[in-house]
Amino acid sequence: MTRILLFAVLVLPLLALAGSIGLREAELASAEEWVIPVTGFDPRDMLRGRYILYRYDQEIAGNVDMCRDGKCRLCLTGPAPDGTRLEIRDLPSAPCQTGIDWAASDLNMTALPPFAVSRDRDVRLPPRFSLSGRFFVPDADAAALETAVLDDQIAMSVRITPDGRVLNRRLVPRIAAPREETEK
Amino acid sequence: MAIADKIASWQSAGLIDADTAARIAAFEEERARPTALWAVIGLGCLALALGIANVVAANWQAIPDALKLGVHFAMTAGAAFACWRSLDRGAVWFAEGALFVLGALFLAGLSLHAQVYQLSGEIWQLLVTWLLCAGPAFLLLGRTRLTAYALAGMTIWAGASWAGAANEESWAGLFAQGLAMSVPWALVALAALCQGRSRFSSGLSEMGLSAILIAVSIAHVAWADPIPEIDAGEMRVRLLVAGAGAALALALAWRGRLFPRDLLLALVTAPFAALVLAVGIEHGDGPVPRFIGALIYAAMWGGIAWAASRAGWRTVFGLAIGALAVRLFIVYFELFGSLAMTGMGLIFAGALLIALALGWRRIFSGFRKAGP
Repeated sequence: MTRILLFAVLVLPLLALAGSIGLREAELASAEEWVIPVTGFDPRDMLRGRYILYRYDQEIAGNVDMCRDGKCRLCLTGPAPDGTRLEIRDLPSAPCQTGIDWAASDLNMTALPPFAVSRDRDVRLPPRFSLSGRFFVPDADAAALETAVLDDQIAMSVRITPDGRVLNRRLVPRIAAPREETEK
Repeated sequence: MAIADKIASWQSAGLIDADTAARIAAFEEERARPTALWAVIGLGCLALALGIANVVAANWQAIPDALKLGVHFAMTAGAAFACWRSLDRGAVWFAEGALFVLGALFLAGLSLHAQVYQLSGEIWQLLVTWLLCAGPAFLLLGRTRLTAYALAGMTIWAGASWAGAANEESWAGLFAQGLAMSVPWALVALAALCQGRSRFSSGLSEMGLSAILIAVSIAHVAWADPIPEIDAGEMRVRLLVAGAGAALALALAWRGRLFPRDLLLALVTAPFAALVLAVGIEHGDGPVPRFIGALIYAAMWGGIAWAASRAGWRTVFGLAIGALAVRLFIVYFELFGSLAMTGMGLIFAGALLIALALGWRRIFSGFRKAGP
């Protein structure tokens, strides 16, 4: 009995790791794929490797002020995988085809008050609303990605689980916007 | 002083003759280790390990997630297997090393899963997961201070981060913080239950008592700040839970004779009493509360020093006197002000320190047996 117990406690960490992988993979299997355009700063060389500080570069609809206390609902209006449009809904319980739970997704949300945005068009200030994060990139690709990010050519391919958690997968070229083609 | 100089000094003082001096020199020469050589090799190994880590880190994002997770899982399974086989063969240190590596790999695995699957959460959630999954292996299989320190360190860290995240405005939050405060005493209670594994038990009790004494010594600073009744009331709720932990530790350690009983009483109850007085009772921050706080601090460490001297525990006695000396030196800063006051502070603190040192020397010469 004691021997079985000792064996069990030794195997417990392995079971926990295997269980965690199984759960996460099952969650990913039911996740929907989206491509969200991003903009950001150049990759930084830090102790933990090179990464991009990115910000979702989306068209925002809805009342930004609802997000200032963090209680709004964020919805991608699609259709998938086109993640260029984000709608802010008033209540956390508002219906949504694909919602984003920014807090559970390791994303930072910024919702600035109206007076924080300058009327001077020559001064480039951060937008009133943004979702931002950090994405690590391989050393070899860092230089090319730096150029692409600065030229606003990059999008993030993400998987969004049914409960709204966003998992960054890889950086990809942006999807050509249909409205721009129409204007041309 | 080098050993050759010491031998020459002993020989010139007539303590040893030339023959003995030659034999000691030959013995020491045979035992000598090429320390400088080992230091250079160690430096080389460190550079090698850092280099490998950097090469892996530089290509980390290019490594497929499945490969990362697979290699990590294989390494963790290898550590568990090595621990099991070493226990079967009675190789205690190999088993301990493998168990320690298993715990470290499991912690790294939780971070790896968080990175691969982009999970976010509070640090206490990660630490509690570690305690629930790897803690039982450490608790049941640990044999030495290595695993005891690791388990105790993780438990204290988890408790501290849990307390920091708890909501102070609810009863449940205060209860949770009280539970976290009782962790060091719980380690002493665990040590009493693991006395069959003496080095592991000693490791747990050393970590628990160190945490108690350091935390209470720091909490003593509360006497320099006003504690309003509302804060004191909340603290009493936490202390009620922590007190239950302290009582349990005292009962188990008393029954199992973990320490000489006088010393146990001083080590477990005196810090708890000092903590209650410092943070559980409303007080101001004037000279009188500060003086009372200093007296309570001195009484706590003085009681521990007295019990340690009776039990012959020289290390604990030395630590207690050291803690008193630090507090006496702080008197100088408390009296810092005009030139005359600074001078008075220096004279007062200096005189007390000299008196303490002389008293220490007198008591130390009275020790008949060496303790731990």
